[in-house]
Amino acid sequence: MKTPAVSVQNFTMVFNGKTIIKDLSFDVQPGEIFGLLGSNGCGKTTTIRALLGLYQPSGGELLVNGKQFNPNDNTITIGYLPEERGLYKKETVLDTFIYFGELKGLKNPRQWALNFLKRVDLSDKANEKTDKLSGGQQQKIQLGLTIMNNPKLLILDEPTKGFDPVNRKLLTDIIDELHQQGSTVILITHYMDEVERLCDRALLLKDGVAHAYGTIKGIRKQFKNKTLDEIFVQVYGEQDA
Amino acid sequence: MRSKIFIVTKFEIIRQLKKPSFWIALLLMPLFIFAIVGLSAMNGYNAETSITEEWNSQDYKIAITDAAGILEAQETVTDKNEGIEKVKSGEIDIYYYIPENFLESPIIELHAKSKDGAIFANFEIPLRNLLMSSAASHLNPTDLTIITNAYQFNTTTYNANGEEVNLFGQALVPMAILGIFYILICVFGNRLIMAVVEEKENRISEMILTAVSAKDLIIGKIIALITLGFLQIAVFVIPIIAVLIIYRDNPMITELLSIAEFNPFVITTNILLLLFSYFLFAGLSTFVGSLVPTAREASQYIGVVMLPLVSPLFFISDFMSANPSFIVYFFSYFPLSAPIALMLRNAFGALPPHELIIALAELAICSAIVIHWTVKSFQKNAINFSVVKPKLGKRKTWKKR
Repeated sequence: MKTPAVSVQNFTMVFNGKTIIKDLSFDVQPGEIFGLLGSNGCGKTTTIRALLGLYQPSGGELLVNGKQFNPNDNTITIGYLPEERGLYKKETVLDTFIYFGELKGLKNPRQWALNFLKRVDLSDKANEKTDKLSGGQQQKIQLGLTIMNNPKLLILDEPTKGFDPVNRKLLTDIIDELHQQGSTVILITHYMDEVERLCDRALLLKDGVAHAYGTIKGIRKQFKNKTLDEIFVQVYGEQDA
Repeated sequence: MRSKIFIVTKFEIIRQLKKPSFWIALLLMPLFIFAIVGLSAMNGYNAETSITEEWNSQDYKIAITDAAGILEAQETVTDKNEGIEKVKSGEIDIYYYIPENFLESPIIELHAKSKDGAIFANFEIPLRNLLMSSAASHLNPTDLTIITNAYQFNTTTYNANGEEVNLFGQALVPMAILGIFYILICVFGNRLIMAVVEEKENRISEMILTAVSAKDLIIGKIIALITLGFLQIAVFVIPIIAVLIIYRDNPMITELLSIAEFNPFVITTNILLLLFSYFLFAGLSTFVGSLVPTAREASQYIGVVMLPLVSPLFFISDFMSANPSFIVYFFSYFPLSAPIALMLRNAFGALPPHELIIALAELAICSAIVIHWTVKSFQKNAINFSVVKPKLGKRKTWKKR
């Protein structure tokens, strides 16, 4: 049996006495695109942060490729585009790419960066400071930094939030490409059309527990073949009401 | 694959070197110090005048042998050796010997007991006053010029045991090392904090921490700023050495070099204290940076580090004593004030070797502990992006009625 790309077992997270995640378990298989879905504040980002060691879990086990995540472990390459994202404001685009590239073990980060900038039509911005770029241009740079080590596990936390249609298309193209190359993708999003189009399986998180978990087809079947949009409204509309 | 610590260090060094503000601070601070020292030296005469009253009011026992017969009725000791012995034994505080050929070779021998806190006192003032007041009316204009202005003192100081010491010369180089530490904390305090806050303030810490561990990131940053500290030291020391070499024949520099003692043990140990102290300071500053989400908030807390650090300077005379008081021991062993306290004591030869070893060990252990805390704290607060002020206690909240 293959080792799951991500394994979360009995994960519990308590903040200031309040349980945010309760006994959550799921696996993400190598090569699949997995949707982690839920309304705001339901614990999606917390789960990813705990998976990546940014939070200490209150209980349970979160593993990447069978091990606790360690940025110095070279056996699996990870790309993470967090929900809260920024750049070194006073650094040039190229210097930022070179720094991240070196940290991620790339042999020639400069060349990689130049190729990427050409692809996203930002070649002329290579020597600009990042705070001089527009919001959309900064998003492209953040995306480049995320994928520059050709990650085997790509975690995207609301990646299209605030993206213009051009960048959205670019992102989905890149997800497709990496998926074709065998990468595993975890996608946290509120756009159910993206989930239906891209994801193999998904988990609906509600009140810190898994409300639904399985293939997209299986989840739809569980909800009488409603669309994911309708399921989302049904599940989280009840909560908001 | 290269070490990630090395990659972080290189990145931090290059980005600091690219900042104009870094170079302005790097060059301006030594210039400022040189200007202060220069003004102080030029202001020497005025300083002498201003402390004359203080001298007159103090109970110093003075004896003079006036073999040249310049002063009226001032020969209180007939034999030079007797005068010197009286200073050594503590019977008197200052002894002046004006040689018979003073008007041909105007050099006055000055022997003084070095009292606690009197290292920089001007022992010449009482005789200068006497020369001005009692000799002027009896001499011709040429001699008057010599007596009022054109003479020198050959000063010898003695410690409590009557042994010859050169406290000023002995402290000169170690105090310069202390000066370097002071410059380092002024120039790098804020930069050390900013280096740690920046990732949080720019909201890039989540991305960076999947590429490098918090430990490697923090250690790389600290190494970078310590390396840049060496650049600051070079900017301070190289011009001094250059001036000393180029103007080595200048009388003032010749005199300075003749006074300055280059005790390898004291200099080496003060350099070690400087390095260990800077490690501790770097750890403390980055720790402050790791706790708060923004540079603005960090700047509110840096005073907590800086104030105890410089507090020993307010009690400088206590640190010259061979018999340390409670406050000296307190400042020496309280980690936040230890760096400057220890360097002061070592400069004045008042830090015994066993205390020095304990002090170095204390600084090393405290640095390691603080850097460990910094890593833990950065890891914990890396995604603390809010600008909510840390709560120091529970506050009552007002509800709308």
